[in-house]
Parts: sequence; C-alpha cells; structure tokens
Amino acid sequence: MNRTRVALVGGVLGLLAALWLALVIGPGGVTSADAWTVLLGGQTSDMVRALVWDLRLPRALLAVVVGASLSLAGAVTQGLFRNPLAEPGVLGVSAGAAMAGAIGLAAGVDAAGPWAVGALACVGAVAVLIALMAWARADARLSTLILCGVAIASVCGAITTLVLSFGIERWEVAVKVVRWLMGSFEGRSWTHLGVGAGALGLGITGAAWLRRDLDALGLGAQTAASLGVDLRQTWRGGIAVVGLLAGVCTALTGVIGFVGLVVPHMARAAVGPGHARLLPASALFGGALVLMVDLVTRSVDTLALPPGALTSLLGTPVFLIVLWRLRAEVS
Amino acid sequence: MLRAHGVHASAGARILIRALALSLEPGTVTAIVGPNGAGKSTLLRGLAGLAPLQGDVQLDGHALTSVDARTRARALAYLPQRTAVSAGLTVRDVVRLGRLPHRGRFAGLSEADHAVVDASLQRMQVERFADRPIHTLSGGERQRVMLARMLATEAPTMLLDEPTTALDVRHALDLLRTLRALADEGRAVLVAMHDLTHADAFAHRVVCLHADDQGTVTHGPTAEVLTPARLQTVFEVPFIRDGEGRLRVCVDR
Repeated sequence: MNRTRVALVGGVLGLLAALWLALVIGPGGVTSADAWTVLLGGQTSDMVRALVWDLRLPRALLAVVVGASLSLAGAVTQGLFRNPLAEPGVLGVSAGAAMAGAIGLAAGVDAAGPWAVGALACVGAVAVLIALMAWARADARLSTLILCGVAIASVCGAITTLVLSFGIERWEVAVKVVRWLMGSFEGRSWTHLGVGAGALGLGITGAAWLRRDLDALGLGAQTAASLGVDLRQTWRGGIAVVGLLAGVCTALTGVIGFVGLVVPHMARAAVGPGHARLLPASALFGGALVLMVDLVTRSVDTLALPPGALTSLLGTPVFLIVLWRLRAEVS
Repeated sequence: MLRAHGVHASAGARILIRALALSLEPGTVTAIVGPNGAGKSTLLRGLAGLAPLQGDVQLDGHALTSVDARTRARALAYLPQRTAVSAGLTVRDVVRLGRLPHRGRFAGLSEADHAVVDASLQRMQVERFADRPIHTLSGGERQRVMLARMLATEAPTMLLDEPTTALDVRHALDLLRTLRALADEGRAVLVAMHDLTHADAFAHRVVCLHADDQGTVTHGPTAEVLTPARLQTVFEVPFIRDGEGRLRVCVDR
C-alpha cells in the first residue's frame, strides 16, 4: 500500500473509532451493545436512547462536520491565496464572522430565528475575505497578507469587545453573546447538525468545482490565467465557499482556530498537493481531528472547555513550525 | 495565428508603443527588445490576452478579447517572467497542468492527455526527473520544465517573457536553441529578451521598443532592426558587427 492509501484508510478508521468512543464515553453507562441497539432502531431504555440519539450522536457528527468544513475552508484558502499560512482563523475571517454575529446577537436579531446570526456571520466572513483579496491583489507577499489578517482580526476583536462592553448593562444579553463567542459542541441538536451538514455539502460542491483552478493557481495567477482559468470567477467562488463554511461553523460552534491551517498541511504530506485529493483528505482528517478534540474536552467534564481554546493551544505550535520552515519565503 | 495592428500602450503620460503592427508567422522566432520599462512585458501580456491592450489583436481571425479563455489557452502558451511554483508540485504535476485547457471542469486526464504529457517531458528531456519536486531542480532544468508545460498545451504560438534572465550563459543559449528548434517545427515564438547579441543570433525578426516616451517601435527582420546606430540611440551603448556579421557589444570600463 502506498502512503496515500495508508493515510486515507487510517483517517477513515480513526474517524469511525472516534465516533464509536463518542457514543459510549461519558456518564450513564452506555455500552457498545446499547449504542448498536439505538443505531439499529431497537428497544432500549429511554435514558440510553436520549443519551445516544439525542445528545451524543448529533454532537459527535457536528464535530465531524465542523472539523471537515474548517479544514476544507483552510485548504481552499491556502490554494486561493497561494499562501501556506492562510486559514480562516489566521486571516481574521472567523473573527469577522464572530464580530458580525456578536453585533447581531446584541441587537437581538436572533429573535428572527436561529438562522439570522448564522447568516450575519457569513456576511462578516465574506466581508473580511473581500478586503483580504483586494490586499492580496495589490501585494502578493506571504507576510503582508498574514499581517493584514492579523490587523483585521484585531479590529474585529476590538469591535466585538466594544459590543460586549455596551451590552454589559443588560446582563443576559452579554452572557448570551459571550456564550456564543466561546462556542461549544455542548447541547447541539440535529437541527444544528442539519445546518452544518447543508453548508458542508454546498462547500464540498463548490470546492470540487474549483479544484482545477486551485491546481493551476499553484503556478501563479498569470500562468493560471494563461491556462484558461477565469481568475475573477475563481476568486469569487473561493470567497463564497470559504465565507459560507467559516461563517456557518463560527455561528454553530464559535471560533475554532488553526484546524484549517494544520489539517491541510497534514493532508498535503499524506496525499500531495493536487486538490482532487487534497480537498477530500483535508475534510476527512479535519472531521476526525475535531471529533477527537471534542472527546478530550468532554472527558475534562468539570470544565466547559471551549473547543476553540484547545485547538488554538494545540495548533499554535504547528503554526510556528510551518512559519519556521517557510522563514526564507516569508521574509 | 496571432496578428495585431494599431497596438498602442502607455504608462501615465509616457507613450510606450504607438501603432505597432505585428503578425506571428509559424516557423519564426520574434524577439522583443528594449530598455527596462520600455513595455516588453506589457506588450507580451497584452498579446497573450492577459491584460488589456489598445489596438486590434486577432487570434485566428477573431478579436482576441472575444475568444473564450480555454480556446485562447489552447492557441497561446504563455510563460511569465517568474513562475512561483507552490511547494510540493512535481515536474509531472506542472506539465500536466498544461492539459488544463483541453479538459472539462470535472474530467480527469485522458489517455491522450497522458500521452501528450509524456511526449512533452521527453521533448524537453526532463522525463528523468518527472517525479521530483520542482523546487529541487536547477534554474536551467526548471525552465525546461516550464517549456514542457507550454508544449503540453499544444498551442501553436508561444509567448515567453525573459525566459533566460535567471540562467547562466550556457543554459541561456541552450534554451534559445530549443526555442529556435520549436519554431523550426512550425510554431510561432515571441520572446522578450535583454541580451541583444542573443536576439541577433536566434531571432528571425525583432520588435525594438525605443522607450523614448513617443512610442517609437522598430519592427522587421533582425539584421535591419538591430543596427549599431539604432542600438546606440535606444540603449546608449556602442555595438559593432564583426567580420562574420555578428552583433558585438563594445564594453568600456
């Protein structure tokens, strides 16, 4: 077996194993047999059914969907910006989504329905991407794009803090916004999963449509254009895919950084730089990784550890390693 | 075939090119020469359909701007001055991208595509390192791979922007010989270059951009364009023709 196949089989097995653990780990004494019975629609106690079907399965699947979405968004972003450090979290796209969502929540748009905050988050993500793209077209160097993302992220963070400080007078609003910003997989239902899976489906379709254009961009924008790639269309498509995925993920589970950076690098090492393989491998590895992160946060059950905090703790060293390996190119 | 007339380009108040007429015949190498900033790259990108260019540019009888991007990509192969290749791409990956204009959006590489890729690798003698990452190659090898990528498009017209700039003189001459051979096989080659003695040795025709802010352009057979008098005017460097008629630069300290 070659490396690609080993990695893909390993990814699938890891994902299945983590899914299984997600159903049986935790209080309530759910056994493997119980979990099977519930999945196959057999008779069990109401408590076991509630634990497995209503709580654990949607939560686990949502972690997979969010991980896959963020990793796919990261892989598309890296191809689009031709920048191995690009990722919705690093570039401030998630911060833009969080800011837009927080403003919306503080203004009470969630009264219109749970979709409203998600839609606003997507708008925030797309706005940041458009600003970045304008910058990247004027100056394509690796480091300036990242610095631009850092600046955008800090502005968005500052505005989010302002929103919170205005909202502090109304305690319940502030708590709502903070809770949303911290994010969690806790208490997520089949409805949340449906929204996430729908966005992921659209994202996968868009990414598949873009894959040859992203391959061609590997030779630079000029060469890609000379090979018949419509750059404007590719950038628009890429912004739509990344904005949708990052926006919906942020709305569902808060800002989860670095997954989109780290996972495409793992996938590239396993299956190479061609996007036909890189994109699905990123989605697979990302789904498995975030589910495992959620298993860890769940087993520390005294704390409500936001998944974004853990991915940042784990992801920052990897970011620095990539930066170190690229130091010649970045300077 | 690519034909242009009435081509005009300017940068701010400076007119770079005024009323250029050009047609790229199969079997010929045409060199674009001129001082830095004369507009060589602007002209080349415009003729490649990658940047707007004032004037009438026609590809096989149709206005270039009205030709759809994939059709254009099958007719015109273009090599920019610098190609920053993403890490990890192998030589074969790069050459395969040359087949992009021949494939549908969701189609993989066909048998025929693979055959063209293999033939292009062989033609440029890079099949030995087909599976090596491109960044491990030397400058000369890398440019051969870029040519193989251009050949894989099967475009009858090749446009190259200073392909020899990063090469030492031996590899530069190798590359120019290859371009000449590709023209001899029936392609039209348009190449921007700095070294006038190379242009003199390898080009059938020369487009000389004078960079005089008036848009003066001289275009014609190599020996008629690259005269010592004109080069003195345009480049302010003395050239002579030696006993065998070859162009020589007179270097003074």
